Amino acid sequence: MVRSNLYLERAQEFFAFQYDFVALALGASVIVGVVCGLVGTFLVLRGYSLVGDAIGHATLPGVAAAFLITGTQHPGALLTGALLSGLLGAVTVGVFSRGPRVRSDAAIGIVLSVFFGLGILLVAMIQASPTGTQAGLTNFLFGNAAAITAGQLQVLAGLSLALCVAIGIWFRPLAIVTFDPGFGRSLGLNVSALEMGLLAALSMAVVVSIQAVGVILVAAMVIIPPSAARFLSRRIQGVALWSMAIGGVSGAMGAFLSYLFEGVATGPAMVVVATGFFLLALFLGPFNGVLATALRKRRAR
Amino acid sequence: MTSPAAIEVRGVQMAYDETVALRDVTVEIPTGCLVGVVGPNGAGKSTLIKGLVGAREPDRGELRFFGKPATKKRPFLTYVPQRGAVDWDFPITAEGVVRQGRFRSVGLLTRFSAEERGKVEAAMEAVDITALRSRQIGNLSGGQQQRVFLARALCQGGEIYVLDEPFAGVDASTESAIMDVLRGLRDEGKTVVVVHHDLSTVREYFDRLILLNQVVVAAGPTEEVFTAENLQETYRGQVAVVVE
Repeated sequence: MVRSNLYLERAQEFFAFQYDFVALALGASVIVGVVCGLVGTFLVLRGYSLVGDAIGHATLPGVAAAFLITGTQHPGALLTGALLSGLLGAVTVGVFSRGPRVRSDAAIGIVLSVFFGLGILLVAMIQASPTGTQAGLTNFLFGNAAAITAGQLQVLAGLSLALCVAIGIWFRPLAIVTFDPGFGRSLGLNVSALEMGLLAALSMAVVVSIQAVGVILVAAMVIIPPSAARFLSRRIQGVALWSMAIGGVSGAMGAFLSYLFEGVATGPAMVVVATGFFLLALFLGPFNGVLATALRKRRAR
Repeated sequence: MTSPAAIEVRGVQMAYDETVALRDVTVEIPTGCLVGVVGPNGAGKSTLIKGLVGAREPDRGELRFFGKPATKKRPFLTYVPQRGAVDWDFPITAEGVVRQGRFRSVGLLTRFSAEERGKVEAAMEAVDITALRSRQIGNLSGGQQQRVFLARALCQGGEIYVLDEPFAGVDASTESAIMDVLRGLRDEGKTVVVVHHDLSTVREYFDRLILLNQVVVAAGPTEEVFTAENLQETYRGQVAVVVE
């Protein structure tokens, strides 16, 4: 009884936006969900889901190295570090997969674990140092949307908006090249440039997101919403919109749950909510959903 | 020589890593004919097609279209890839695929005007897929899928049409519908190049023939080229169909 009252109180606090950090956390989480949902749509359709996972993990050593080099936790420095090491991870995956010696799934696995291992090592070194405990780097592991400041949110929002506009502009060629690359080339589209652009967009989306969801789970926000959205539309435009919606709502609900249950990081909370939407879509989605397929089979009989 | 050939291939060599796919290929395709490209698996047919449509640069040699050296942009050229090259799970409807044919005209952000939509409609009607417009591409039969890709090519327009095995895995009525469309294009003066597998229909389908096996074994009017000796040389003992 007492417990449920506590949760009710917390919920009231959340929706009253009594504290600034609540609104900031909510805003950041929604932005993350929307931007990851959009970028993820092309990534999942292209079969690059795990590249998202690799890039997410690959950002950690960049964050830590940026802290070691600059000695500050200025988010601009940390996120620049994240972007550079994320891009390095993406390039490494690309170079290895093209060569004859390593299969691309192995390349992804290697980059993911090596970069992440290096990142954990650096974080441990920083925490062992006298100033380290205040560095807040563990926030980058699981995400802490509540730690985001108003200035940071403005930067995240600006970058996300630019990213969404860029993908909106190149939506048609990206769709053509993902669906039928040979045809795309015959139209004179530069397939490898579009692919690189997509990987760069992915790296940006990951960097924008890691403060709120963390490097470990950021890939889930890239993969799960579009995977759910595929059951809800048979047009890529529809899939992209559903994916952004599911991502955004998961972000909002994740931020709320994380506030409600003390000690629950925003990242895992968002991912759990997104997974709930995925299961709903998997069973109830009109396009190849479990229920729709069963009904169609019965009607055919 | 009144008008220049639609396509001239001069001494083209193309290789993947260690394997040479095409060796010193020289062949000319006159404007306004329906040409078959025939040869065994691994003969370099698809590689030649990739070279023509600009998906791959030749390692050596030269391509010319209508008498001019090939550049990167080939807006006069329309390509129908092999059906297997496509992601069938992709969320796109039959109409969505056909609309891709107008990309060069509508560009990145322009909305489809009434005129553009009319072209899409006409192309879908020409191959009888209007009723399938809202179906997801993967939910169509092989023949229906091939019609969709032909419709995309038709609404794209162009002077040269290049089709990579358009009859693979399609039903008989689709095959004859596709042939009708291709003959119609030829009769309008377009040049149509088709990679083909079924030797039994070669005589009926094509005005001209290119027999390919890394090199051009023979090329020219079908009745001159389609001989037992030439096929023997092309397939090197793997001939599946005996020519009467």
